[in-house]
Amino acid sequence: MKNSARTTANARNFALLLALFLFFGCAAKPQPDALYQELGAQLGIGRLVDAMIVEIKANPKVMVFFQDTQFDYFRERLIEDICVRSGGPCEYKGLSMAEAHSGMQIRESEFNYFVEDTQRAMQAIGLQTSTQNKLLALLARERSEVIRQ
Amino acid sequence: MLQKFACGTVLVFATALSVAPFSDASDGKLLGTSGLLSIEGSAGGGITPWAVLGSYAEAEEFGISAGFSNTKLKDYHLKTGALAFGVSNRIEFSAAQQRFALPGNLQLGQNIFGAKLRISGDLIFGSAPQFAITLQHKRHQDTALLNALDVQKATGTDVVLSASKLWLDGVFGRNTLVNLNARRTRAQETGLLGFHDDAKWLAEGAVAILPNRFWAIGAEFRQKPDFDGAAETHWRDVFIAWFPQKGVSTALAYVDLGTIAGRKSQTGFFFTLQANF
Repeated sequence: MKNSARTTANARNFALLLALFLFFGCAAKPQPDALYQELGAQLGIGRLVDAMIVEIKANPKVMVFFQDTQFDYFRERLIEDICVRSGGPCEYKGLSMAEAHSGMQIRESEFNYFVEDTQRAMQAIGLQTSTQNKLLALLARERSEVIRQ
Repeated sequence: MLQKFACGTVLVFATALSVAPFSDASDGKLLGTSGLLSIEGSAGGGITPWAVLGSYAEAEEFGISAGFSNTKLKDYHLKTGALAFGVSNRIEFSAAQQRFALPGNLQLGQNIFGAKLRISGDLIFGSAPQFAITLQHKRHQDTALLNALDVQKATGTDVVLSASKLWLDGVFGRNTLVNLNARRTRAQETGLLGFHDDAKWLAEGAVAILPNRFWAIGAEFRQKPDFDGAAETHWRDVFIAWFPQKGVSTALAYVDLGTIAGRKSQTGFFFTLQANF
């Protein structure tokens, strides 16, 4: 008798917990700056961009497009760009993607080499795979404004 | 002829393996996006072709994939040697030779010449899937044995329409691939047991999740026809593929091909190794 009452109470508690869990689980929308936080906010994005610049400088196939680049300037603009696109509190002060790559005639393969540099940089600073994939998805959206300009 | 082709395939493969890791002839595509050479030679998974093109040749590049696969079932044994030429991530030409060992020390051989055209879209970039059309012309090497098996035809051409998409940050935050095919074919057991006078439309599908950029885990399904009410069992597999670098890729699958020519429960393992350069 006592046992069965306890079982019923347990079942009811479990159902309540499940309902609460589902309610908050379904209601919880990802924060608009979720990726920005995952990347480690300003400091983390700074580390990522530094790692990207290391990879770019080590990759002759990508470096050909950076012969005239002032890397201090590039670093600040790329940090702003990633910050804005990941939902962070920044303002992008650079040229549009199409303007920045105008006249470069970047091929599909060369865009991919840059993607690979980014992948190596993300790996080097130890970003989780799911965070890496979210950032790649953002980068992928810029492709049409980067290649063949 | 059969011997010569097999030796040629092995030679090309061995050369490719030795050269591939040191060559940067064509490596414009992202790791894994060449897929693998399927049992019919066209790039894709293991038992189905996908809309992806063989080799790592991106736009304005040219590349080659060469591979070998081994499918050991309870009563049958299929070996495929395949070569694919990728042009500009637009066109793929492939040639495959299959050797199919049956119970009773019988062996059938089939050559498959394939051509694939990427019609539109990109596997990863943009919202549209990558669409491709593939022709696979299949031709038996020794028709005498086929005739003895009371088969209507020894040659046939399959037409396959494919759509492939890879979602970045897909299931569980992992990159996720889906491929769907519609195939028009007269082939019995993919042509290994000859061809019928009638043609059927069949559906094929594949899904894969990429734990990271070097690995893919997935499953495939391939619908099979029922000519004259003789229903073939649909094929299916689960696979794990490894892309350590662009020069080499490999995969292992557990395959369930059901009943083949009256012999039930044809399960076993598919293994493939390929070089790209």
